Amino acid sequence: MLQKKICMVGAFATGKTSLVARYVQGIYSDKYQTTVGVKIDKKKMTIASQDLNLILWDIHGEDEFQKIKLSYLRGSAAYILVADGTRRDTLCTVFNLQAKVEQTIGSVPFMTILNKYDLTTDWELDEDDLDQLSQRRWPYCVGSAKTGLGVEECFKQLVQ
Amino acid sequence: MLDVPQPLIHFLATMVIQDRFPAYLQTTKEGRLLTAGGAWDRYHFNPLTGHQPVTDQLWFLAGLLPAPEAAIHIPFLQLEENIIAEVHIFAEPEQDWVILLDATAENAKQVLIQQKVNDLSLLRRKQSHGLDQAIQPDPVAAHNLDLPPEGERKFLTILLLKYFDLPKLAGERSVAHPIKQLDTDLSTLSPLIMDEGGLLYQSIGSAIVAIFGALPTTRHPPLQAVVASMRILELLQDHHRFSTADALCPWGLVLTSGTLIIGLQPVGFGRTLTVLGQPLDLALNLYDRIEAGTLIIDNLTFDQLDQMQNILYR
Ligand SMILES: Nc1nc2c(ncn2[C@@H]2O[C@H](COP(=O)(O)OP(=O)(O)O)[C@@H](O)[C@H]2O)c(=O)[nH]1
Ligand SMILES: [Mg+2]
Repeated sequence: MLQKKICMVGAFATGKTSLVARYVQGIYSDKYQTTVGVKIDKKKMTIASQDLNLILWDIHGEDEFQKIKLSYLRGSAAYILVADGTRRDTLCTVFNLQAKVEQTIGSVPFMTILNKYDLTTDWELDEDDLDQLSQRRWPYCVGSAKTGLGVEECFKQLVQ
Repeated sequence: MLDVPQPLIHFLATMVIQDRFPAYLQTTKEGRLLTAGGAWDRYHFNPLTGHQPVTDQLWFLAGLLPAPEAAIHIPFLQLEENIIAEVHIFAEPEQDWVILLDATAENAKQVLIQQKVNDLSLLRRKQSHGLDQAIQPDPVAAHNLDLPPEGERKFLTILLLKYFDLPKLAGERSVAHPIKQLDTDLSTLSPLIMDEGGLLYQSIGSAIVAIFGALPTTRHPPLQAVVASMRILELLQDHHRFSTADALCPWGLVLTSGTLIIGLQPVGFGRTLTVLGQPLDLALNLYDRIEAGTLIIDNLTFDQLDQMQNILYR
């Protein structure tokens, strides 16, 4: 069967692990459990009546102590950049990481997801931030691992 | 290669095989399985069939083979809920090797540390984010407190900060946006408190209470509280140099120390921090005596600092 490796990258606690759990198992938890290293999941998917396996690499977040090892991205068919809409600085992390990733694995398709859209009162991103994404012609979506909003669509859009 | 005697090599190899559950396989450059052996059971990948594409069986290898020239090392690869492997992949001219070692226990240790680091970093962010979010019924804070439900006696230092509306005191018109000013000041001072392991506890009117010694720390609470206080006074003085008539910092501080009862009370779905004890009462009693730009230190805090100095400089 065709296998496609997809990596989740972004700052810590933006919701990478939660998005994968929502997408693969359909579950969500509010408890924060730090990922150290890489967590791998797979999800079967059918695109244009062809079965394929998505191999999802949930990579630990970027912070002062753990830097993302770019070698982990080797062989990725695509990647998802995850920002936390309630922490503007995580969008800067996304911009920085994307440049590094592209340097490492070349230009493969990617998608940006602005997660935690359910937290409307804490939402920090505004028009200017979205403009920055549009100006770069980056495909992005808002979503929530908690409610499931946009999650399925994000993966689907990426794979197509 | 290090010159290690044969018996020692044997001993080390036995130890690794016993404790780390090595599993290995060898593939062709086209990714077909040649040989496999070792503890594949441990990783729930058994049985493996020869001559078939290896990524069909070990799906996590998708994208990683054929092995690049430089060996790949993934220290922690979580395959299932409770199985974490250390993975090595390296190339030989005709075939590639994959080796797995069990790293579940080592990962658990690292997660503990990293979790604390990340939680504190999120908490710090939250506390430096302004008055409304700073004060605490906060799961992140609760998580870091490790308190038994019935509460605990702990040696803590209380820092009470009092805000003065100085222009008003001086008979001038009040600051245009006192709440906003307070908020800006709080964003300035809360990172200084967090840096020293303090926690913003409560805010009532123009008083803010922080506690030192509740979060995990390596240093003595009175010392941390004094360092934080000095830095706060210094920084806020700087901030207000141009905005107040007599260039005075509109904050006054009190430090008290002693054994307090500290606990987390269930409130609604969350838990709220409660602190009780004489040092807190003392700090509140001193409220009226606080002067702008000054720091009052109670006897016990002072004695503790003195003792520490003796230890340090004896
Ligand atoms: N409200 C809300 N919280 C979320 C959402 N996604 C993740 N979280 C929470 O954010 C924290 C970090 O999530 P996690 O998936 O571990 O982030 P990671 O470090 O990027 O893997 C956890 O406490 C999650 O419960 C979301 O869509 N909405
Ligand atoms: Mg994670």
